[in-house]
Amino acid sequence: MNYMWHLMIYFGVYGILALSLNILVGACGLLTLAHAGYFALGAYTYAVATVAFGVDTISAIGLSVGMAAIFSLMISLPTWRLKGDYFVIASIAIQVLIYSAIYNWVESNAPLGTMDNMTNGPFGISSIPRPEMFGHQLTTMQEVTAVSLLILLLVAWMCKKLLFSPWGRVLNAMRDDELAARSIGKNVQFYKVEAIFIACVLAGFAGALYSGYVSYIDPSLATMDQSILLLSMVLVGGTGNMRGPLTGAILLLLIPEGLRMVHIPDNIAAEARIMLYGLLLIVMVHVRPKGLLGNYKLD
Amino acid sequence: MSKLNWKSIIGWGVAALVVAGIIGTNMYQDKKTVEGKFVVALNLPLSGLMSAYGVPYANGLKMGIQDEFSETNIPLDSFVVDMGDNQSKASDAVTLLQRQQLNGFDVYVSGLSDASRAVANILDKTQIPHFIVAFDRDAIVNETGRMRILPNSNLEIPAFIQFLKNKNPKKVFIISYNNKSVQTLVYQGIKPYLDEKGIDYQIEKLDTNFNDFRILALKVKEYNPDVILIQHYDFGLIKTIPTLKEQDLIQNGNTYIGLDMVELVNTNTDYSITKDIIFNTTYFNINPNQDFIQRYKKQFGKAPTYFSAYGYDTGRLIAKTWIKDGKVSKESIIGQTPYNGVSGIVKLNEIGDLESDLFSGIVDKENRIHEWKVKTE
Repeated sequence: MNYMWHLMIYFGVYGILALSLNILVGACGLLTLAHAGYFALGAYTYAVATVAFGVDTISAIGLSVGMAAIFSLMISLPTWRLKGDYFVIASIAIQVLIYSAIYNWVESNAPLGTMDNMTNGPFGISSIPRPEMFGHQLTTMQEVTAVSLLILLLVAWMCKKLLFSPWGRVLNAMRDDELAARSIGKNVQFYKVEAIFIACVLAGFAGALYSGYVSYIDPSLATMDQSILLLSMVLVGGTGNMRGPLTGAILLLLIPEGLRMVHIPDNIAAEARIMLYGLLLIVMVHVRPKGLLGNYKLD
Repeated sequence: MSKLNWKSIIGWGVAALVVAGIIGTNMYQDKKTVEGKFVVALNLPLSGLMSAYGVPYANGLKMGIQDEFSETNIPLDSFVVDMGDNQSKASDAVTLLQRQQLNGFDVYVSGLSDASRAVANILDKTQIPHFIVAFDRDAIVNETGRMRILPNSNLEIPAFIQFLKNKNPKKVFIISYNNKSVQTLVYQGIKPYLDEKGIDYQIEKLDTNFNDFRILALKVKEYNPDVILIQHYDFGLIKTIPTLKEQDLIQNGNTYIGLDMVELVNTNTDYSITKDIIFNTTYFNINPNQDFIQRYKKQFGKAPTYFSAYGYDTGRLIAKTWIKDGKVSKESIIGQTPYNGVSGIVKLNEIGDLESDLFSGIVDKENRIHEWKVKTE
């Protein structure tokens, strides 16, 4: 049964990530490939704070969120005036920057959390403590599942409130016709900064959750592959609403697991599953270009 | 606030039940197939770059169990190898472990380094024998089920130090792959020796996507070292060595390479690349067991690597323990060693880590590996 709890915890984490990415991709039309970087930033901040400095869970989550918020300016300020392909390229640069920093900020003999060794580089960080809430450590899978799904619900509610508010409608206007939005007096650049800020904060929060649950992290969290996986969740599920990204998160978590249960001969199983997975994604993109439950087709 | 869409909620509920039902049924069937059997669960990279290590190990392990069961006339359907591909990702490794825990297992095998670290904390609590397929020096710790039958930093470091002692260099250039196990070897093994002896050195770390091999060669030339040490996987070596040779930097046995050089030799890499290079190697490569090699080729269509040999010995050892005792524990497996395997004498120390010798090897024109000794220089 732990397997089911585990999948639900992952759904909680990846659901938050997909919803946060939906703010940028679905509402603003900003295709970013840096989201895994912010996820990793949150995860690493939580890990370093708890392992190296013994910070409590709530403060560590606060630090993760704060760090992601500050670093969100790394995207939003340089890309103040960028959109389309140029925004994508800028986001790739930032993703590479974060990944490189995490991978290389290490000196083998220096203790974790010092200026010489902030991330442990390719060694990763292990023995990250499970989250503790109100003096109670979440040790069982059921507890972690309940907390992560509750947080996902809260995030979904918050995202819905935001995206279907006047603020959200400005983002949609900006996505559909930026010039028109500016002509009615909307400061689109500021809205863009706000949207990126919120999305990165949520990604950092998801990172902290992941870190506390898995208890081991390494730089693979911040790879381009991870960013593409997150983007796939949003694009396959569909953008512009709540159910699309959540459906994408469920599907992209469950399909590989479902494929593990297809009995394929051992010697070709691994490659065959990956090919099947790719094929399924291609079919979906062709059959449903808006995503399974999306409202908006990304150009 | 918009009204609740009950149709949608019911739809989602039904979909969730269907998915849970499908997964549950599969799990139930899987559970039935493993009940009362000897189950070995594998959590290894079976696809992608690192499958070059995961697949031969998994094949060898499976063959080892088969052979042990066949020799003792126990039906082959008495064991199940639950093969899982973690694609070298820590997060996938954790998911895979959770799924495999549903059906249960007697022995767990995980790798490589990152995936093992991600699942180790969970498995440590169970005390189930957990074989770690990784080279990291500190991967095995006491009072846990962790074990290892694979060459590792603890075995490779003495080989590097011995080479340095033989060469007595003034300047050393170290080219290393930027991952945990390799950096552990360099910083915890080689660097302290160089510091202690006052030898000048320069360390160059290469990431997976590193491509400036010509510049690397020019850096080495500029530094003008007496000895070059390289610790990288075969995909890096195949690019590093020719560029160093182009600059005449590899000569007079001045270059020592880690165990992965063996991979290049096994894949019949051009002799002009492998010539004159001294490298770590295992007993299996110096004294290949032809019967094992032929049977492995017949079963899997490829020649075994030293990973296959260690996987095979691990498989035989755990099967032997299970057949003898009807169960396996870390202590009972250690109790079965020393054991004469295809990889040499398998001896596990009190914490469950391999104690064995690595040799310095050199390759001849026929692609055979010979032991290299100082006097033959």
